[in-house]
Amino acid sequence: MTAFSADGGKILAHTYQSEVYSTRQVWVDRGAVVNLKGTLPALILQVLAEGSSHGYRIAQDIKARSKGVLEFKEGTLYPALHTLEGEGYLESFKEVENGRTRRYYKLTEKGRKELTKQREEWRKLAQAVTLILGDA
Amino acid sequence: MGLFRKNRPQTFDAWFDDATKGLCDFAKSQVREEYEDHFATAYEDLQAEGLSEREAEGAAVGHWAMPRPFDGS
Repeated sequence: MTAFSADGGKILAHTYQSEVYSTRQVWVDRGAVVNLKGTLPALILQVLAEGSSHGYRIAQDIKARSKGVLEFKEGTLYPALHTLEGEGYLESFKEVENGRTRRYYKLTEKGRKELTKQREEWRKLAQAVTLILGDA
Repeated sequence: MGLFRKNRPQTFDAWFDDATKGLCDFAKSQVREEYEDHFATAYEDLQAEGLSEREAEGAAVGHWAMPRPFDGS
């Protein structure tokens, strides 16, 4: 299973539950990621396109920007981050902040290209679904 | 899967123990710091919102997904 699929339809079905990309992979339940319908990786890339950040802030950004609509269990964030890093879309580095060591993530050039691709796929998917369901 | 809890863990340590069962100590150490930082930040934010220490810990853990066993797949 890959972090992204060129097929927009597969994005909706994506979960991270069976992936092992690094020794930092841990395991959480399937349902929490599905609540975001597989869009979590793209949302992470978008947040990081605006600057490097750490996991907690990324989670808060996604929740705040969606005005609470996109809820997800925070334990699912790290498998997604580690998968994206494993695929070369992100790089991580550590910084000490208020005496606490914190891992930050930043978008790579490959990640930026992937985000562009994901945006386009999402646009096409949204247009197609709107054609069927109509505007709300 | 008798090794794993049916109920949600109530503390970060319990959550982390469940989530990393089956991983070697090195792998656990690689993720622990990052998870701990996230949890500690959430815990502080929740306390700043007025929750007691116990409530904040429960709520911070509640924001995490239920851990599931490492199955090697």
